[in-house]
Amino acid sequence: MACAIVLLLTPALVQAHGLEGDRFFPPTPLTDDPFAVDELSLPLVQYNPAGASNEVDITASLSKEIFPKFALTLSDTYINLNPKGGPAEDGWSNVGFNAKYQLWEIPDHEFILSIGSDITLGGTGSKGISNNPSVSPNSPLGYDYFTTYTPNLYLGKGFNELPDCLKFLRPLAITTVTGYDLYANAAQSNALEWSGSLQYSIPYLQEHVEDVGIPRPFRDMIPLVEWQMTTPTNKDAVPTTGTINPGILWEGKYCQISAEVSVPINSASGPAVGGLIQCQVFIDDLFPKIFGHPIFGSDETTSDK
Amino acid sequence: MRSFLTLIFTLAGLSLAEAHAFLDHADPKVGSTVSGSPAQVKAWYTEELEPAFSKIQVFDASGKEVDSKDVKVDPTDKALMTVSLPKLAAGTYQVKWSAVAVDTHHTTGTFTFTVTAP
Repeated sequence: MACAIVLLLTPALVQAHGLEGDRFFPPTPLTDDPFAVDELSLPLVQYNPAGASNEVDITASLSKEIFPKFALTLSDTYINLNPKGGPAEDGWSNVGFNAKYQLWEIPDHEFILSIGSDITLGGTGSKGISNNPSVSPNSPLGYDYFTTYTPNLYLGKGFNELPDCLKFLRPLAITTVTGYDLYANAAQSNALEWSGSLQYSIPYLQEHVEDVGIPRPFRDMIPLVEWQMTTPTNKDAVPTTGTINPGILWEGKYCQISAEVSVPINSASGPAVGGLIQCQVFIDDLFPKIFGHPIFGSDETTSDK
Repeated sequence: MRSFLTLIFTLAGLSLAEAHAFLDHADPKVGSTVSGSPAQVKAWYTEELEPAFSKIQVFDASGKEVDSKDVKVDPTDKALMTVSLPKLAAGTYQVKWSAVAVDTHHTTGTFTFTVTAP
């Protein structure tokens, strides 16, 4: 009876989003983080100048943990194309789904490995937005009539094991996503998608390595570099295309704001530097009764104290 | 933005809550070297804590817990948690904390400080 009363009085604790040991892995704009948790990206705005047209993409996505360590994501992008010398074109891209499972975690080593898959449903985008697969097989130009399946491997690792002589590098962490685009269209060349981020967490420096007295708002910032690459696996296809994206991320109490510039790695990737801004809302902090825990089962039910 | 969301969700019969409790600063400072044994470890968090489910432990280099196991959340400043220390020998000590914010969000963390002879 006493045990039952204690259990009833013990609050169901809500696990922090994106934490592995001491490390907080923030959701970054271009590299899907390895955590299967509740997240709301509202919005991601990207500006991509191109030779024939300029493009602005506004993406929204919502992730919900269904079972412990397993989450589903729904996302879509509103695209505005401004062709030089032609009328502007607006519309929705194909609807995207993602399923992700946290397979292996070693908190003491700030390590996480997850698996998952993206599914972009062909034919669900606006008909007015045209795609040009000869430029990039995964160009975010919207409408494809075929569905794309992308099995993914997600990794996150902090640099916490560096020796004392390199302790100021311990705030570094890396995340990667490696996926393989499988198109439901035999004419389309499949492609390897590989993206990642290298982050230097000033909060980690202050909270876990050495309090060097950095004041807010700089104390809540994470400088980072992201890369986002596509390598077609058809030997006759275009070379690897992609961007290198240096930027900065600011962690607020209820949201995170990031800004990056996008530098094409070659002429096939674009003629000029673009940019992006993202607002990530911590919905589990804002509405803990609804978000921050799986629909079925629980991540953690009692305190360890 | 929070005001806007508050309005929306208040209208929807829901309410906003607090955020995760992360370490704001500590005394001794994270990664610092102090001359002589400190009397206690004080840790300030970014949110108010739930005393029944929050704790600080201090371990020596051999992994032995050396604190006095009298963790307290300050009743006048619920974002401050303390634990007393006996007289510590020179060496490096690891602080492990576990914090539960009043909205039940759970966070954990570690840091070290070094004691030198006064």
